[in-house]
Amino acid sequence: MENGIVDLISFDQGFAWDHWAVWYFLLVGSAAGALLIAFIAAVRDQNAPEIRPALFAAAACGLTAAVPLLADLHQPARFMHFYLGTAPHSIMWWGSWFLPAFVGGLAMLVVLYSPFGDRFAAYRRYLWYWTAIFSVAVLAYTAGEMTIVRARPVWHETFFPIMLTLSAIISGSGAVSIVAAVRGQKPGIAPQVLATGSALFVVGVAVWIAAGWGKNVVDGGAFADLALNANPVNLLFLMTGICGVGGLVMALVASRAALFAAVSGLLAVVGALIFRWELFMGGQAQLKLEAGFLPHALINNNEALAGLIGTVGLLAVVVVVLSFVLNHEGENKDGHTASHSVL
Amino acid sequence: MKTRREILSLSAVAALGLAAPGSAALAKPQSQTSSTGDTPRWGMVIDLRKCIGCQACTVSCSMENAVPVGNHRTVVSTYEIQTDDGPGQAVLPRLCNHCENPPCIPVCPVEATFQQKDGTVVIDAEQCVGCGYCVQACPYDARFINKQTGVADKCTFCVQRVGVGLLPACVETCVGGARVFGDLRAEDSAVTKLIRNHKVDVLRPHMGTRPQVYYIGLDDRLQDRVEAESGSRQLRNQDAQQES
Repeated sequence: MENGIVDLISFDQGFAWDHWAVWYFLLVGSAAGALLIAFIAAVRDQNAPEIRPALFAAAACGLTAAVPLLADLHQPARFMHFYLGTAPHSIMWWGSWFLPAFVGGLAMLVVLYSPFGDRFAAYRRYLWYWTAIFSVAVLAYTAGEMTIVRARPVWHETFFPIMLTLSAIISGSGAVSIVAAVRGQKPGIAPQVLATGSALFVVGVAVWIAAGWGKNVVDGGAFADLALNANPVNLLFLMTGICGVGGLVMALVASRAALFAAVSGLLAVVGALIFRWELFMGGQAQLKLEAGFLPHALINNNEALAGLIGTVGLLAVVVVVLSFVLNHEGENKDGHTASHSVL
Repeated sequence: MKTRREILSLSAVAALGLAAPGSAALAKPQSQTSSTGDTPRWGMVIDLRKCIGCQACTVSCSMENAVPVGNHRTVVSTYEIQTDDGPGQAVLPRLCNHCENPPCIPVCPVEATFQQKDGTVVIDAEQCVGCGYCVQACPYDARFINKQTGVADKCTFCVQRVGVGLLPACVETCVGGARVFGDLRAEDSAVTKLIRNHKVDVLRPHMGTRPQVYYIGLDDRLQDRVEAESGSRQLRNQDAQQES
């Protein structure tokens, strides 16, 4: 004991954002990351084969994301209040417009790349730019709305928006790698993005911890405190490292076999999920008024389980639907219809 | 010579005076206008030298505002701290600071939380979507999601009482008269006099929120994030780990 302060009576307000928020941010971040990979391929060639797995991954994540977001509202039936007034001073309000613009763009792209969309192919270019712009807007608002919260020291640190965005891109490239491997399609630049992103991620986490080493929580040491002192969050950081390093290694050998690509993608998605869980739940567990952390028992585990089952279940349904809708490969430049693939 | 009715009336007034303990009643606000005739700016001064940590304010607030079990609009954090004379007890009543620059308001995506002309920060429970963003933004942990209503909740300076000329419940019940409520704009109000005549501090001043709850006798070690190294929360964490 150094300063000799003992809390005799203290109170805990609990978690305002539950697990649903973690799922939402992961899914919408992955969707934006995957969409950007698809966009880069589409800029070169709107019929490039590597567009399809990236669009598939983006659409699957993006179309699922709105549900955990609604579930995270404690009054979900009032979601229309976002649109019945204006609150331009709130980043979350801007996000409430960016999200449907992005998801709507994704849905339209899926339609244009379906068997019904060939006749509207001329509109693809505009839709790609629309969706890419709003994918960047989504990445910016999700990172921005948390970074401005000065009351949460971890979220307010300089590294936070960078690492959150990086994890979204890694997760998005991981999702693309999984879809490409499972559907037997070309992953495009996804493995390179995954490998580069994972390397940057591992270095970034290490630098972030080192930057906060020995500092006070409110003076830049919040992430280091979370990583090194919070239990079981520090265990999860170890898992993140394993996922990051594992994802990197697997991505480097991904070109040798589809299995390696799928495993690297899975590690990237799981790593991003764990990392974001740490930042979201760990960030809330880190007390505002006193040293220490909230008891993790305050997290409603039934709610967490419901979130997991609900989100993964919905994702599975969306994947099945997309596997039929995006089963159409369109026409190649030489006029031949490309081979169809099924999930 | 006084009639029996007048004597009974005086007795009732005297009894009420005893039932309303402390000097808090001196600061009783008069509806929504101050002595200057302008809109008041409500604020609170908490004299920590008088607070005995009895939690009467905590209980009365919960009763007055029907706060669900497990949530608090106000609470008295209590610490053991080292003094020159050895270990001593320090108390710190916490509540919404009704800041001049409240970080909870601009983040609200549906404008459900706002500041009244009298400075009180309140929430429109019908408009709130329960997104919890304001809860995150408050650096004083004064907000929470009400388990029963599903919307953000916090201290309102008992707006329903102050509006009809009563004191906030916590002030009314403060045994030691440590909590004083009044108009910060009025030169002759009890809060203004206390601020003028004493060294006062606010919590977490570096956050730039300009809190309007002032403390007399605040220990420097309690002004910001309290570096408590052990205690009741640690025990709760251990219990939680054992249970899980």
